[in-house]
Amino acid sequence: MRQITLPASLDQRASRALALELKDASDQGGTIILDGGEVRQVGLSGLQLLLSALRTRASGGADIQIVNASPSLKDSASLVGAFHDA
Amino acid sequence: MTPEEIQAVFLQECEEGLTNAEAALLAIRSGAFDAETINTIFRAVHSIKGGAGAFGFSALQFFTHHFETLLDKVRDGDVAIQPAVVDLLIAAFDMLTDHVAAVRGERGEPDHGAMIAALQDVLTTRRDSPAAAPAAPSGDTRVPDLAFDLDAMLGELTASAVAQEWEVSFAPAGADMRNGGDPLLLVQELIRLGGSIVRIDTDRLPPIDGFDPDQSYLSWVMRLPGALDRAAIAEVFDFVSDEARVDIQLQPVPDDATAAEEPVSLAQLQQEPQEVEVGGFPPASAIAPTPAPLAAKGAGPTIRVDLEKLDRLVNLVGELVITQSMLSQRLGSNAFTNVEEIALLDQLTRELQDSAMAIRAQPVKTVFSRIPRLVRELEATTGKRVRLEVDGEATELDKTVIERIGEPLTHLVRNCVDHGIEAPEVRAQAGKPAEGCLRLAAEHKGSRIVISVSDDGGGIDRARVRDVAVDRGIIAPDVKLSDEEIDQLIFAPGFSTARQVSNISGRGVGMDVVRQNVQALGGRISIRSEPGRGSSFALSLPLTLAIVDGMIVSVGDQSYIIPLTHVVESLRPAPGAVQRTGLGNRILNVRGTFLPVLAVGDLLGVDQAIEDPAQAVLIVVETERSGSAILMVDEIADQRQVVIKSLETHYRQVDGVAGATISGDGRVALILDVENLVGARVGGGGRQWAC
Repeated sequence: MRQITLPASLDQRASRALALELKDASDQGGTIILDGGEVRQVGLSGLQLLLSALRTRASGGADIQIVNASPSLKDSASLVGAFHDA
Repeated sequence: MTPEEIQAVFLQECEEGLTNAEAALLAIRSGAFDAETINTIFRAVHSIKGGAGAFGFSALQFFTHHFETLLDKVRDGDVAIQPAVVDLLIAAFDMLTDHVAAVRGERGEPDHGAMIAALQDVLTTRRDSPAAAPAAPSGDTRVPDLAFDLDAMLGELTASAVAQEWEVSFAPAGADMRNGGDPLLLVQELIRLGGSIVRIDTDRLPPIDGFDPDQSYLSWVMRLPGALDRAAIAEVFDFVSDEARVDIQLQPVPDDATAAEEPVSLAQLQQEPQEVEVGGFPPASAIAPTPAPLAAKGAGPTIRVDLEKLDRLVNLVGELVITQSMLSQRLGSNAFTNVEEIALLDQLTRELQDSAMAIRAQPVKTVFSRIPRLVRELEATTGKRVRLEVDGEATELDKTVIERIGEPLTHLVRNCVDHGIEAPEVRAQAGKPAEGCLRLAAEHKGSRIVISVSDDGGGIDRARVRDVAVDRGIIAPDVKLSDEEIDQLIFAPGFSTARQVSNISGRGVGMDVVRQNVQALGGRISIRSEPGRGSSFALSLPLTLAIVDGMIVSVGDQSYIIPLTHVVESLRPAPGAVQRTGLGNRILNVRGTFLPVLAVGDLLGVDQAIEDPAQAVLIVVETERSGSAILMVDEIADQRQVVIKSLETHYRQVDGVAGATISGDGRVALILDVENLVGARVGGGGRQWAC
């Protein structure tokens, strides 16, 4: 299992780096835990990346889980209608 | 039926009538009502009046007569529905509730003299609203059919207010993310303008392998109030790229608001949505007032059954499940495996058990229905203004759980209003609406139900909580605590940050008792708080107290059940990974955190348990009071639902044991009380050392 702490600012630049890390981690197999506790700001690119990660998992790909979502991350998730999931 | 039984039925009907009437009154107060809403209240009060007369409850009958008279005039349109009238109806309703409680023997008869005078005052000054009483044609002395007029007026109001609204489609392009631009800010701006998300298209979103951080994959369809100027909406998109797609159209409002498509949720994109904990502080647009029920929903025919009979049925079904399990195991041990009829019997037994449990289930509405009055009283006492939002009140859980969560829930609500939501002037200074929002929600989450009480107040004042905890010797002055750990301090016995002890909360005994009560139900309580934005308390409760999902483990020659709600993971340590501390305790480094290793065999005095951790199975468990710990067992045998049998009924209470069950081979297996088992050894403050 690999744990990755999401950066405070999950903007386009951060999501470029994170996308590479996630692709690398998913190639290696095993569970990937994304800790969202420190996220303070999320851009569209970062949010798309997280949704893509979850979609990957839902479609039987790498087991990527997001835990400990910060309020900022939740707020951003609400912009894609995810506020009903508690 | 005996007269006593008939009277019990009457009192039960009173409760149901009061519940319906209160929901209708709140709908009127929120402005979302129609003629049937008023009829609902009238019918409830009328029925109570009839029963009160039949059983000789003269005070109740007298009061309901006056209440009913005013309701009749409101129903006929003779009395306009003005805020003062609505307040009076609600106050009269509260007094009616007191009258019913007096009939039940729960309190003395209320003094209704002033209230009846107030009801009569309104009747003598009726028709005081020009809006509700259009002038009759000159010379026509007939009383107009005001009920009809009221309906028509409400219809016009509804039609004119929500006839059209803007539908905005927005598909940003990759170029919109360059140079620091972010399309999410535009979506936020539309929400700030009063918009709500109708649909999000995620079809173009690729899996991680094909993901390009510089591309835009999502698009939104949003609705905004028709009253907005189109230019104000278009202005939001002034700086989007030419490749972005923006479409703003005025659309008629759908007749059935519920027909609108639900926004997509992360749940649709993942298999185990519970692992992504979003929620807690939804944006304002996401916590739009829950539509109030306008009329009583048509329910199917019902039958009243004595609770004892139900409990007997549930117990018998529990015995059946155990016997069926024993039969399966016996047949299996005699080489009768894969018998189709046994599989069918197993399935039928499970369905029968589920059905029996469902009979005992009640909607949380029965508990939630107490809250509106409580909030009204708190508003009056504190001078704060609170808007109550309720969601998921149809969620069902076991009657016993329902009966026992009333008190903790009441205290949490008191706490949120008293400590959480700020006074109107303070809120105004913080740029918040003067009216605070208290949100009560219930939802199923796996085999549990989560009830949350959230407010949009100031959040927990952590600096003050810490100071008080130090002052009272709850924590050492130099101890370093995370925000979450500071929040947990409010559950410490005797803790209170109230500057003055009030009669609402602040005696510092409540939150401790809340947690104890919730834990006694096999539940957990958690807090999320953000300074300036509010707090959310979540009660995670079992759906029933009769069955539990458990991991069956063996220790020596004994079998034990560990409730799955505590289990985080299981692991086999490498030789030498479990280390001994100077005090003889054992610890294991689990991904950077040292957790205490507790041998169940040692804790319960079991002979012949495996001593060497490398040969045993370690189960990481989570507890409310003591954090995470590891239970060491010999092996994991199975994982299944088990029927809980009370140990106290048949023997006595045993520390560290929550109950018992009968396993398939007919032996008794004890259900471990993980919270107390770990707490007794580790202590209440938790013992985890981060690397």
